[in-house]
Amino acid sequence: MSDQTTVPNTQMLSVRPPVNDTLLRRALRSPSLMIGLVWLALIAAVAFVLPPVLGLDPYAVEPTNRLEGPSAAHWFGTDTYGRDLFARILSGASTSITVGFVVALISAVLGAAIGVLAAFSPVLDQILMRICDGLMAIPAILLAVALTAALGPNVGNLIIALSVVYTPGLARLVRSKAMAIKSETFVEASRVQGAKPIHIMVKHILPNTLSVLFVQSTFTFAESVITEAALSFLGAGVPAPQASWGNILNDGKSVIMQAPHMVIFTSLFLVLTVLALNLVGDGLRDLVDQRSQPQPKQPGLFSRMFGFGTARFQPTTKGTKR
Amino acid sequence: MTDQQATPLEIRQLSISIDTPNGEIDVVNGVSLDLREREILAIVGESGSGKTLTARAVLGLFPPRSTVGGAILLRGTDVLTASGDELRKIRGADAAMIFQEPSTALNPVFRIGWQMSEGLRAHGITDPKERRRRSIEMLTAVGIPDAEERIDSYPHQFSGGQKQRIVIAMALALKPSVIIADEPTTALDVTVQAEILDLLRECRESFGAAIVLITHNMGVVADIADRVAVMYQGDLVEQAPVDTLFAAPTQEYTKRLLAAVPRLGHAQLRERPAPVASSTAAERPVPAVAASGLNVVYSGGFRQPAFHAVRDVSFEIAPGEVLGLVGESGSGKSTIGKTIGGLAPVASGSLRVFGQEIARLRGAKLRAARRRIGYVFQDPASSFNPFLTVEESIAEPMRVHGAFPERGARQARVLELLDAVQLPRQMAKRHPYELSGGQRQRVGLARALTLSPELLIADEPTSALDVSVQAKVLDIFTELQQELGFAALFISHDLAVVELLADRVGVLQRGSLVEVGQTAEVLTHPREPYTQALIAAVPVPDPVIQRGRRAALAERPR
Amino acid sequence: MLSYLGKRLLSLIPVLLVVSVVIFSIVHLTPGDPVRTILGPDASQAQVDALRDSMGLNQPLIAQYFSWLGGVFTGDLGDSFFLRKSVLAAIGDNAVPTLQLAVIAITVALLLAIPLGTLAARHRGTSLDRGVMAFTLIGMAVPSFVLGLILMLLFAVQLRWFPVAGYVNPADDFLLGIKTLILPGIALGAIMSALITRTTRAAVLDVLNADYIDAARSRGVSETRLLFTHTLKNAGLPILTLVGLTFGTLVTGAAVTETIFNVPGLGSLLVQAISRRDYAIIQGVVLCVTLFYLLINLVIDLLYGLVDPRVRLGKAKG
Repeated sequence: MSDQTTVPNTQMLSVRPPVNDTLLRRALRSPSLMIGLVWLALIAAVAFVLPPVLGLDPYAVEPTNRLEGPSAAHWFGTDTYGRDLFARILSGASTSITVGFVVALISAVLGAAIGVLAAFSPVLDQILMRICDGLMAIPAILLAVALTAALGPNVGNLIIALSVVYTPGLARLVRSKAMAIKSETFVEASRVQGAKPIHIMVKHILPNTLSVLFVQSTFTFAESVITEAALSFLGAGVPAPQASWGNILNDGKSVIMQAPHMVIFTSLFLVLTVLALNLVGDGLRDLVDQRSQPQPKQPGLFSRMFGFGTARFQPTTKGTKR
Repeated sequence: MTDQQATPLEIRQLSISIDTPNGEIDVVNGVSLDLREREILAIVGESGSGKTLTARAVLGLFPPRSTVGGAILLRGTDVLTASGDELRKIRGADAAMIFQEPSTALNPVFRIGWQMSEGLRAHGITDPKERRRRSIEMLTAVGIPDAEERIDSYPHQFSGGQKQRIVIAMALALKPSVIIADEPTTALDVTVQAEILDLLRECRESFGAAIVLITHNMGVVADIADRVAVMYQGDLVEQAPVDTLFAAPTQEYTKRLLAAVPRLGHAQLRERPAPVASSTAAERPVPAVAASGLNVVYSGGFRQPAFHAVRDVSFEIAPGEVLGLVGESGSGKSTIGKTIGGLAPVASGSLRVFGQEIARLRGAKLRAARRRIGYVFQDPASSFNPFLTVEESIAEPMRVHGAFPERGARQARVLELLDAVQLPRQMAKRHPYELSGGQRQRVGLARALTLSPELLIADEPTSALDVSVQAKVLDIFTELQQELGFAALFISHDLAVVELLADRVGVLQRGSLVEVGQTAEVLTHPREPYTQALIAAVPVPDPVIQRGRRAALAERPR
Repeated sequence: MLSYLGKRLLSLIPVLLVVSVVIFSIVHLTPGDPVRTILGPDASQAQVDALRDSMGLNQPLIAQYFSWLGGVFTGDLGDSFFLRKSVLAAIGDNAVPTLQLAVIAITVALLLAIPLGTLAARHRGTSLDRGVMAFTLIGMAVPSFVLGLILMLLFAVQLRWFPVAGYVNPADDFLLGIKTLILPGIALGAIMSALITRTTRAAVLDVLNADYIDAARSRGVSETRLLFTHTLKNAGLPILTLVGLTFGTLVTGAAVTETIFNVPGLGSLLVQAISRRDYAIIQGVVLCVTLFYLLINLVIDLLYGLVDPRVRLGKAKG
């Protein structure tokens, strides 16, 4: 038998990424991912570690020092009740991060379960997806507001409400990805080998949906932080004495003329945190995309369907100008 | 001037390199080509040969982040140094392009008349009535019936062949002297391909255009080209008149390339014992597959009619026998394969696999039947889970059926299978996407053979591969089939490939089995008109024979 | 086209069913007695019983649901005990400013997003593209109420170009009205524009990479005409979809932005209702906004037909 070099195979050329290029190495090279992660780690460390170390008390009231600007004693100044704004903001950070993270976690787990189940049972699919459609038809904050208003404003109920709001979106995403994977040839291959549905679900479908789920959960984290702040701003979120970026902003709004520092500092923390989460999400998505498209160009759906079209090397032959 | 008339297109030392994340890659290295007046020049090569990039460069179309060197003289103007304005004047007027996928070369949201007139408008024809008149004229010229009405249709209202005709009409609109045709028939069925090739010939005869034809199909080259240029990995390997090239290729690569092309009617008859010999009817073994009056209907969705994919089909596959199924797209050949694997529903009729009605099998019995069937899929890119290594992919059937429960035994079996498909053992730890198309397809074959099946279904296993890679995969397939003696259903649109390995051939047309019989019998003495037409439409990769065939075809009364 | 419309309307029914159940449950999920919440702790038992009866709370839950649903169909969303008027009237009074705000926000968003997204796609990889992408990244990270506060601080408090808060109907005094609405409008629209810019860029890039654009280019069509005539219609579909979806974000943002700028719109109505636990209003606002949201998306679905001929003919999209 002739050996395999009779006619050299030119299919892949050298465009595909080097084999030993691990996910971790690529992650380290992604600036947006790294900047985002570093900022998040920093803010989490500061929010959870610094208050006990420095003895910051977000509830200590100094009625004589109300609405003061930044000073050595109060780095970010004080609020309407004379509480230390830095302590308030850090305490708000821990609330926001906790709420966001828990909501992202709960909706990711529920979303994955609902999505994969729906992809497997047409009956369940009809029921579950109609419920998701209904919940998604109500604009996010309105639903959250209505739910917290009904359940009563506290952190636990806030997490429940936000999870109800964000689970349907993730479930839909997982379902559509699972449906796409289900029609892939490798699932058909597994079925025709005689694999049971549970094997296909666990071995083939779930792993392939995890990447999009992970990316989207990061964005859900970011959105939950924003929505939590908005709800607290409206008075439907974290209740009064407890600190949240939303209710600090609400306090700051009424004194925006005398003490703009309250709004400025709090906004800065909120914006930077959401920005960091979005950067992480964008970075993760780039990582995932690269992994799923390792070839220079796959033959189009059309050519695959009709059985023509060799996997020709066309390094994105689409030309703009030189 | 006369000199330029003789060579409307000169490519001088063209080189293109692309800046990729993994460094600069030279995709075209110093290619020089001349195109003479009224000549059809074929550029052939496999994936990555740079043939498409070379051709597109003629119109000044380059991939992003590419660097270009050399010169391309189109009627005396250098395309590479031309300004944007000059380039725009050249495009469409001096040179035009025909694309591979007619369905993507037409904008789906505009009427074709509008799209045609955009080209005319860009070249200074301001009167809309004049544009419309000329568009209708061109559509009629390329054989679109009722052009006055159809001009106001959208692309999706035409068939694939008609769309390609429209694309050609657009290219011809300003009567350019050079036409670049980039794999113009690859996405089309063979019978449509023959029509489009005729139309291209007519472009030369009636409009006096010189044509650069990019293709990987040696049959098309033999059918239409005057001269051939062979490219390999960005280099121009050889160029010669078509007869010379096929008769006496000078370069090693060209020889290997031509040798790898399967030729219809040239396959040596397979020297192997007839699988079902002279056993009496009573002793006749149970056929691996027996279909009688099989119908498969895909139910339609909301307001969509049900699709009758397979109509009243009857055939048998004896143990150890290879049945080839051929047909054009939509003929139902893949559906039959899927139905045998229990992936498509049987509407009526009987389909027995190893003597059992496959449609009635459920649960453990279905699993037991599937254990005896191996399946190789068409697209090597999507038939592997990207999360599993080659070893895990090949071992999956063992895990699914609890065969070889010990890890060590499983590993040993995987290595054995890698040896069988002639892949190095180190590949076990790799991921499928790190392999080339041909290697992946061999892994697919190994996976199908893991549990030593008695029946193998191969659904267009080589249609996504280059010819040389295809030859290798077919070799391995034939060798293993003879060694292991499994029965096989080999589905393909390529008659020459089927001829290489099938004992018997079935021909499908729109879901019906029009003819089935011994391979040599069906392919050399077809009885049915459809089979005859199908075989006549396949261009033979030999210019002399093909010329004779075309002459014979032209004489035949329609 | 008609069958397409019918199909879309049919598919709305289960969605509306779920929406109605969710909204109905809001009152009945409430821990404790909603009547006690309304009347306060000092109310007498007789008062409570009378109100329970008039609110129909003594009937079985299913019956309550259907009588509420019947009310919704006849336009009766109940009455607000605090505002002393019907919920529908309250919503009607507050809808106008919100709609005006929404129109300004969408205008701002589209005027920013479409040119920016198209330019970024056309000049992909240049510093212009990177600048636009950075803008969208920041835009997506700034919640509209934060942007509202910052704009207020800058343009109303510091520069005094605009009133700090308040609302004048542009129908009464156009210039002053626009002045009161422009800051909240920008606060809302800028956030939306970030998302739409990203989608526009991605959609235009997609289309620019399509073969038919190369085909048109190979016939000599100029780059400008390629970009604005050949590309934008194809790219319109995803942009249109997103505009429909961001309408939800818009309402969401309006709720908060209105309270910042004291615009008496639906958002303010809702926030007041929350602080007073006025469930009839909460229910009514959520219901009306959701219906409007679904309606907008239905209209956008129908607009698809204008853009894509394959939809118009009732063919499944690829």
